[in-house]
Formats: sequence, C-alpha cells, structure tokens
Amino acid sequence: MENVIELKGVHKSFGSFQLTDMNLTVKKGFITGFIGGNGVGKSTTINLMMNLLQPDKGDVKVFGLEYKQFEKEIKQRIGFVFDENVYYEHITLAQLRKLLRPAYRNWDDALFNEYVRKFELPLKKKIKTFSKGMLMKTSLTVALSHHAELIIMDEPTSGLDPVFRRELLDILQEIMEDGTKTIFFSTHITSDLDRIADYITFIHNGKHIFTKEAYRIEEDYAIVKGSIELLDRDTEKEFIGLRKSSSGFEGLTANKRRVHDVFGDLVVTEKPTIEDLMFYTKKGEERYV
Amino acid sequence: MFNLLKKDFILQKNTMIFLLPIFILFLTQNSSSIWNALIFSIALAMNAFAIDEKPEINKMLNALPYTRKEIVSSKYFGTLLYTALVVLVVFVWNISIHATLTSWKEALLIFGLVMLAISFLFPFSYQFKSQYLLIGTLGLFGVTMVVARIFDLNMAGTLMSTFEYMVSLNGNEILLLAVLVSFVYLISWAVSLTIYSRKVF
Repeated sequence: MENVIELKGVHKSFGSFQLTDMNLTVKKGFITGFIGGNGVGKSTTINLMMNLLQPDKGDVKVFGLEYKQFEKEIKQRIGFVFDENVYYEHITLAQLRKLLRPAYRNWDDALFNEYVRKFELPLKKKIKTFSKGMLMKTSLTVALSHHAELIIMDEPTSGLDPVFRRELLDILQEIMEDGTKTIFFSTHITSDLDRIADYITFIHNGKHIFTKEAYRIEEDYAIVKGSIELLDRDTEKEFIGLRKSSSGFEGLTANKRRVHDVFGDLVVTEKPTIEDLMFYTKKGEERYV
Repeated sequence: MFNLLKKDFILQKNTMIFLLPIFILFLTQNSSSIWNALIFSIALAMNAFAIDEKPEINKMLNALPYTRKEIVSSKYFGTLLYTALVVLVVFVWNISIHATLTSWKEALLIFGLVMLAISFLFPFSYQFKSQYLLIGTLGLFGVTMVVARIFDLNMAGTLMSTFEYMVSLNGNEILLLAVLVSFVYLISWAVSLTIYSRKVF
C-alpha cells in the first residue's frame, strides 16, 4: 500500500519539549485519526508534515517527495484545516476566493460554488463573522476546490457542537468515496474516530506508540477487570497501565490472548475505547517514572 | 510571487483609495513633494507588511503553495511597486497642476530614501513586531531632538537642504548612490529572509 506521508527518524526539540525518533506513515486512500493528549506533540507533528517546521534530524516525505526540492509541488496537493481561523478576517468569502484561486493550479470555481451552496456559506459576509463550524466548512471548501489529494486537519472537531461534528464526519466520509483522497486528522475527541477512522495513530510524550487499523485495536487490546489478589510482580507486567481500588483492578493489555492464557476465566475482558488507550498509556508511564 | 503581490494589492485597495485624496491634500500644501512621497510610500509598504503579520496569517501563507523566500521577497518587491505608484501620482500632479516635469533625479531620490528606510524597517519588524516600530521611532525621534538641541541644528531645514543637495548631484554621483542603496536593500532582504525562515508560527 502506498504511503502518502512518511516520517523517518524525525527529531525535533524546542525548549523542554521533544519529539524523538518519530517514524510514522499515513496510507493513501484512508482516513487516519491522529490521537494523543494535550501537549504530546500532535500539532508539532502536523507542522512538520506541512513544512511549517523543519526537523532537527530525520526525513519528512509527502507523496514520496521532499520539501527541500518540491515544496510548492507538495503544497499544491495538500488541503489544510486548522483549529483556528487562519484567513484574513476583514474580507468576505468571495474576496478570499479571489486571493486563493491564483495560488492553486487545479483550482475549480464550479466546485467551489457547489460546496459554498452545499455548506450554505455566505459569500458576501466578512470572515470574522463566521462561526467555528462555518470556518471549518470554509477550509474544507478551499481544500476540495483545488482538488487536494491529502487533507490534513489539526483538531477539526474541537469547539464544534455535537450535531455539527456528526455532520462533519458524514462530509468526510463522502469525500473519501472516490478513493483518491487521504485524510489525516488529529483529535482528542475519540468518539469521532470510532465512527470514521480506518487507521489510528497514537503518540504520547513526543513518541509514536502505534499505528494500527482501527478494527485491530479491538482484537489486540482489552480492558481487563479482576480482583486485586490476581496481581503480583509478574502478572502486573501484562498491563500497559493499571488502576487499583479496594474492590479490584482494571487494566489495559495490548495482548488480549495472552491475558486469557494467564488469567483464564478469573478476569473479565472488555472492548477498550480509544480513550482507554490514552488514559492507561499515560498511567503506565507514570508508574515507571 | 506575482500572486502574492496581487494579493497585497487586493487587500490594500481600500487603503489606497482612502489615502489618495489625503496624499493630494498634502501635495496642495506646497510642502516638499519628496518628503510627502516618502511618507506615503513607507505607509503603504508597512501596511502591506502589517496585514500579513499575524501568526495565523503566516500559518496560512506557509500552508499555501508559496515558499518563505517568495513571501519575504514579495514584500520587498511590493515596496518598489508602491513607491512607483506614489511617484506616478506626483508626476501626474506636477504635470497637470504645475505644468512641470518631475525630474528623474527627484524620482530616484524618492526611491532611494524609501528603500533606505525599508531596509531598516522590515528586518526590525520581522525580528520584533511592527507594533514596536512606533516606540522605536519615537525613541529615535527623541534622540534626534536632543542631538539637534545640543548642536543647535534646524532639523527640517537640514533635511530639505540635504534633499536639495542630493538632487543637485551629477549623474555619476547619483549612480554611485543608487548602487549603494540597492546594495543596502539587498542585504536587508537577505537579513529578513534569514529571520523569517527561522520563525515558528
């Protein structure tokens, strides 16, 4: 399968924050959800993918090309959605189109108008009057109007109301239908991912923890519940993270089958949510500090 | 880069329409047209700079298919265009009202002074923020006042006589100055580019 984005051995540090030996790939034709808590390096990674930042070490390739030689070529094919308004505020959407159109060689005015109609965006109102949802639709309209093959979204659902979030997820699914596009989006609202992501990429404290097919998470990972007597130095090693209380323990394992072999019917296993993964990974790390 | 220049023109259109009558008002006051042209050219160039100054806007510009080199270069190139526009207005004004041709030396002097001023203003604004320019300018102005007081200079008079002196220079001397100013402008562009390529938005 073809990779649209490839990060190889990427290091980036500023101040106390460090992204270390980041290796990750984003597959063509799929939606990849990019998860991790606040301040673990999601935005930094996205900025590296868009050449808004340059790595201290390592390679970043998009469409198999390097930014050093092919910066404009790559950016021609990327659409972006940020979690803040990045457009000029004192102009209208019609004027914005005038500014952006000449930048893209594949700009399609008919398509732009189609999405403006579909998303019910006002052409004559100033951008500063747009709500968060409208801004998101504006960014998407721009991305789709220049036939972006890769759409990178940084926290697109944060600050949106639940109804609009679902609407957005439907839109994204629709975009994917022709099979030529790739979407990479970061979020910490994990229920979004359960619905649409084909792949999940998880990072924690500047490190890539895993990239997996969404359905595989259910097959490999499990939430395990049992009584506290089952835990000792050896069995605790089976878990990524643990939470103990007087009534028992709850933990996350990355190897569901092995837990069955070790504990048999003495424990109950449940399907983990992406939130569980994030929570117990963080907890597990605290344990070893 | 042409697209970036066009973008700045579209965004500045209203400002320019607004400034034109004010500029003409200034010209009717019979003060030095060189001085007026200098002020208005710098105002346009700095306004174009300020429009793109917010970090979010820089994020967008850098996500669009433009390079950082193009983004910085467009500001330096745009300055020359705005100055040309202002000089054109002066030219038309002088022909239609005073029935005189603006001398090429005068036009060149305007260009030279704008380029010299921008050579300091742009790198300063890229490194800090253009909002600190006012403070910086005020500080510089204060220092100039004190110096003028100490040496008993008439600043406005000195400035005007300097303009007159420059316009009276011969062709070769002006050519030398033009080369010198262009060199400063190029250095300034290189410095701004270095500052801007290290920026994080």
